[in-house]
Amino acid sequence: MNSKFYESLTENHTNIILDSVADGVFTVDEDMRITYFNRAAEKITGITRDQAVGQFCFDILKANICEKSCALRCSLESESEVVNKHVNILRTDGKQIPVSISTAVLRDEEGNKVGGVETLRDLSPFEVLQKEIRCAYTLEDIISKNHRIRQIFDILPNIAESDSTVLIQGPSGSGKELFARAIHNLSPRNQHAFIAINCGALPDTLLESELFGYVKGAFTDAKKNKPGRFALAKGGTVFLDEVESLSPAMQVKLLRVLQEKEFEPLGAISAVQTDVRVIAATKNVLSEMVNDGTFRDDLFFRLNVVKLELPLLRERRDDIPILVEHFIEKFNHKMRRRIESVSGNVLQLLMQYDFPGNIRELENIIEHAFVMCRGEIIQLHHLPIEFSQRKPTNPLNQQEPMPLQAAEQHLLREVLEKHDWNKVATAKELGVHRATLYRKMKKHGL
Amino acid sequence: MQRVAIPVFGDRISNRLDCSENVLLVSIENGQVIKRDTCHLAEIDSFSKLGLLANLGIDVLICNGITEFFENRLSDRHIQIIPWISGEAETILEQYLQGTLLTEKPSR
Repeated sequence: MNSKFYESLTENHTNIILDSVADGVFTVDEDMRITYFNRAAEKITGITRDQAVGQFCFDILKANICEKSCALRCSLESESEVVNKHVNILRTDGKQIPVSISTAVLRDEEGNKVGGVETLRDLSPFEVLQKEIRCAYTLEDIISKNHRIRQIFDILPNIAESDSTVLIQGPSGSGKELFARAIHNLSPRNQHAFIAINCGALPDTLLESELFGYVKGAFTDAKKNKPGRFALAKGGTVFLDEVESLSPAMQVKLLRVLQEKEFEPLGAISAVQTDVRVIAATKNVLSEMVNDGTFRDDLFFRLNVVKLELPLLRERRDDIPILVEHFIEKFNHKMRRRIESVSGNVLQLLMQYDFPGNIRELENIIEHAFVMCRGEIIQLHHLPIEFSQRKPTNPLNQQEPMPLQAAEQHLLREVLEKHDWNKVATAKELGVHRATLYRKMKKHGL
Repeated sequence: MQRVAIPVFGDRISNRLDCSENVLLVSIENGQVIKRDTCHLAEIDSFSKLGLLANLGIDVLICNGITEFFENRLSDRHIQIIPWISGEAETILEQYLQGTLLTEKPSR
C-alpha cells in the first residue's frame, strides 16, 4: 500500500509537498550546485528559485560556515547526517538571519550518491527573544545611519580593545546600556560577566553591599558571605548606570576601586583585589556637577578616561525611519504578527515629535500600536491617544512634492556628507556663510 | 595608483566578506596590475577584520556578500564597495580592469 502510494507520486506532487512545508529545503548535485529550491527557502534567503538553481550553494546561502566547515559538504564526504546545526546566512539586504540546518546525502534507486539535501529553519523569532534575555548585543545591534553615531562606531572597537574606564553620557532612553554591552561583547573580557547596576535605584547601604558584598556577621541578617557585583564580575565588566546618583561616601569607595583596584566587603577586615573594567553612564553633565561641588573631581577624572556622548533622538531624526522599521521587525517576531510598516501620516508625526523619552519612547509607541493595530499598516488611530490627536502639519503623500524644509534638510545632509562633514567646504559649496550653515544645521537637528 | 581588495576563497571570490580568511590586494596603475599581495585574515574576529580592512589603505573593495554594518563602516572610510559579485577572482579582476564588472545583487 505504502510503496504503491510512493510510486504514484510524480515529481510535481513532490514539489507541491515540499513547497507546502515551512522549512526551507534545497538539494545539490555532487559539485554543490543547487538542483532544487523550495518556496520556504526562497522566503528565508530572499532569492528566487530561478536565481538559485544551477548556482553553487555557497554563493546563494552565504552561511558563515560555508568556507571553513560546510555541513552539506561534510555530509557528502562522510556520508552522514548533520542535524540542527545553528548557523547564520546573509540575505541580499545585508541582514544576517540565524537558521538551524540539517543535511543528508541523496541517493538514487541503486543507492548511489547523487548529491545532498539541506533543510533550513528560520530562527529569527527565537533570536530576538534570546538577545533580550541574554543581552548579547553587539555593535551590529545598534541601529543608526546618523553621522554622530557612525563616528562612535568607528572608535568603539578601539575603545573595547583597550581596558580603559568609559563614561557614557546621554539622556534617558538613548541606549547607554546597549553601547556598554556592545563594548563589553567586543572586548577581550567578553568571556566573563557583564554586570549592570543602577546606582540611582538603591539606597546607599544597600548599594554598598550590592557592589562590594558582605561577610558573615557583618550585620544581624548576614548569615553567610555574599559576594558583591565587583566580585561576581571578576575578569568582566561592571556597568554603573546613573553614576551621578552616588552619594559622596559611595563616590569615595568607587574612587578607591578605580585607583587601587581593590575594595572591602562590608564587615571584612582586609581588602579584596578586583579585576574588572568599569563603564559608567550618566544622564547629567558630570563636569557641571563637579563645578557645583556635587560630584568629586578626582572620581570624575578617573571615570572620564574615554567619554562617549550619545545624542538625543531629536538630534538624530534621520534615524527615526530605520528605528521604526527595526521595532516593527522586532515586535513582529515577538508577537508573531505581520505588520509591514507605518502610514505616511504616522511617520510624518513621528519625525516631528521631540521624543523626550528618546528611543525607549519610540519603542513604546510602536509596541502600543502593535497592540491596537489588526491590519498590516499602523495608522494614526493606533498610536497612543496623545499622538493620534496630533495632526501632522503636512501629511506625507508620495504624490505631493517634498516639503521645502525637508528638501533643505536633505540638501544640507547630502553636501555635508559629500565633504565629510567639513563645515567650511560645505558652506562654500552652498554659497552661504558658515554661521548660516551652523544655524541651519541646528534647525534641522544635524 | 589604486589599491583594490578582493576577499578570496580558493580561486573564487569569498561568498561573505565577514567570514573570508584571505584577501587579494592588487595595486593598479594605468589599468595594469603592478603589484599583488595576499593578506591573511584567519583566526581574526569579524570586528578586528573590519578594522584591518579599513586600515589596509584600499580604495576599492570587490566582494560578494557583505553585511549592512560592514558596508556602512567601510563606506564611512571612503572605500568604494562593489558588492554581490560572485565567480572566479581572476575573471572578476579582469572585468574590473576592463570596466565591465557589474554588480549582481539579486532583487529581494
